[in-house]
Amino acid sequence: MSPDDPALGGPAADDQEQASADAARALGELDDQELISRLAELLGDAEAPSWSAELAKASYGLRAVDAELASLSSDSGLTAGSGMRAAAAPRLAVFETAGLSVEVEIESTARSGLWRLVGQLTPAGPARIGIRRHDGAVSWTDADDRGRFSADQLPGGPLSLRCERPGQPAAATEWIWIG
Amino acid sequence: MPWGYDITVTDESWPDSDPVPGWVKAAAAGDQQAWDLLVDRFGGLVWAICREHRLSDSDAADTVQLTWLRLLENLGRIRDPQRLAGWLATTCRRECLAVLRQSKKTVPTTADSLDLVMGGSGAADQDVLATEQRAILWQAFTRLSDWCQQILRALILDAEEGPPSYRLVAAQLQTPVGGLGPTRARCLSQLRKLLDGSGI
Repeated sequence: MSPDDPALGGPAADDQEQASADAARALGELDDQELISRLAELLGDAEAPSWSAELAKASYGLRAVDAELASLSSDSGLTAGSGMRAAAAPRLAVFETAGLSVEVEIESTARSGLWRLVGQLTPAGPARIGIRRHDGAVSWTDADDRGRFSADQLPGGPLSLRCERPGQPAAATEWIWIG
Repeated sequence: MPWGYDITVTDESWPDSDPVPGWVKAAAAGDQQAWDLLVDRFGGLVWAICREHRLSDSDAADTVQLTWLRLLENLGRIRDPQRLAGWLATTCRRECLAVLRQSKKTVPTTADSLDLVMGGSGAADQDVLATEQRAILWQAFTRLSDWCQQILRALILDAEEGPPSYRLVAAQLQTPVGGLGPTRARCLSQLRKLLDGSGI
C-alpha cells in the first residue's frame, strides 16, 4: 500500500471522509424510486459465485503474522506510458520495509501464460525466498550472496514473496497480481 | 418530531451498533470466524465494484481475491473500521484500474485511467464518487435487519419486469400482503436514517 493510502491516515484520509460525506448526501437526495433503483443495480452487480466467498475465507490462512510487510513503493505496471508498447517490456516492482528493499523484474516467458521473475535484495545478501501464491502454495528458492534470485514458470495471479534472511526478521511483500 | 421527543423503535429492525469494527479487530488478532463474517458481509460489494469497472468474469474473480488479500495484510492498520466498506471499495477500484492497465488485452484509453495517472479531476472524481456511493449504500443496506433486507431484495428482484407483485412476494416470504407496503416504507426509512448517519 502506498504511503498516501487513505487507510493510513493523513491528508488523503480527509479526502476519503469528504468523499463519504458527499456520497451520503447525494444518496440522501434521491427519492424513494431512485434509491430503490440504485439498490437494484447494486444488488444485481453484487451477485457473487459461492466459490469466491469460500476462497476469500480460506485466504485467512495466508496471513504472514510473523513477517514485516514490505510495501510496494513503485511499480512500472502502474505508471503512465503503459500500453501496447510498454506491455512488451518487463515490469519492475520495488517493495520496501525498514532495512530491506526487494526489486523484482517480471516478464512473460516464451510459453504464453507463464511468467519469469528475477529479484534483487538490498542490502545484498543471501536469503531463503518463498514464492507465495493465493491458493496457499509456496515454492522456495535461494537468493545468492549478492542477493539475487529468480523463479520461472510462474502462472499468473496473486503473488507475494517471503524473504528470510539469517538473523533478520522475516519480510513478506505486499500481494501483487502478475499476468 | 412534533411532540419534541424521539420515538425509539424497539423492534428488531432498529440498527444495532455496527459490528464491523469489532470483526476487524478480532480478525487482526487471529480470529478466523471474524474474518469469515467480513467476507460474508462485504463479498457482494467487492464484486459489484469489479462489475462497475466492466472487468471480465475471470479478471473480476482475480481482483476480488486480491482485494481480500489486500485487506488481510492491512488488518492491523485500518484507520477507520467504520468505513471499511469504503476502504474495500476504494482498494478494489485501484486493483481494477491496475488490471485494466496491465492486461495486454486492453489498452486503457478512458479519461478515467488517464486522469488517475495525470492526477487530474473530472472523470476520475466522478468514478470515485460513484464507487463511494456504492460502498455507503451497501454498508447501510447490510445494517438493516435481516427481515428488511429480505423484503427489499424480494421486492426489487420481483420488480425487474415492472412494478413488483406484492401478492407474489408476500406468498414467497409467507407474510401477510397487507403488511408489505408499510414494512417497505419503514425499511426504506431505516435505510435513509443509516445513510444520514454514515456521512459523518
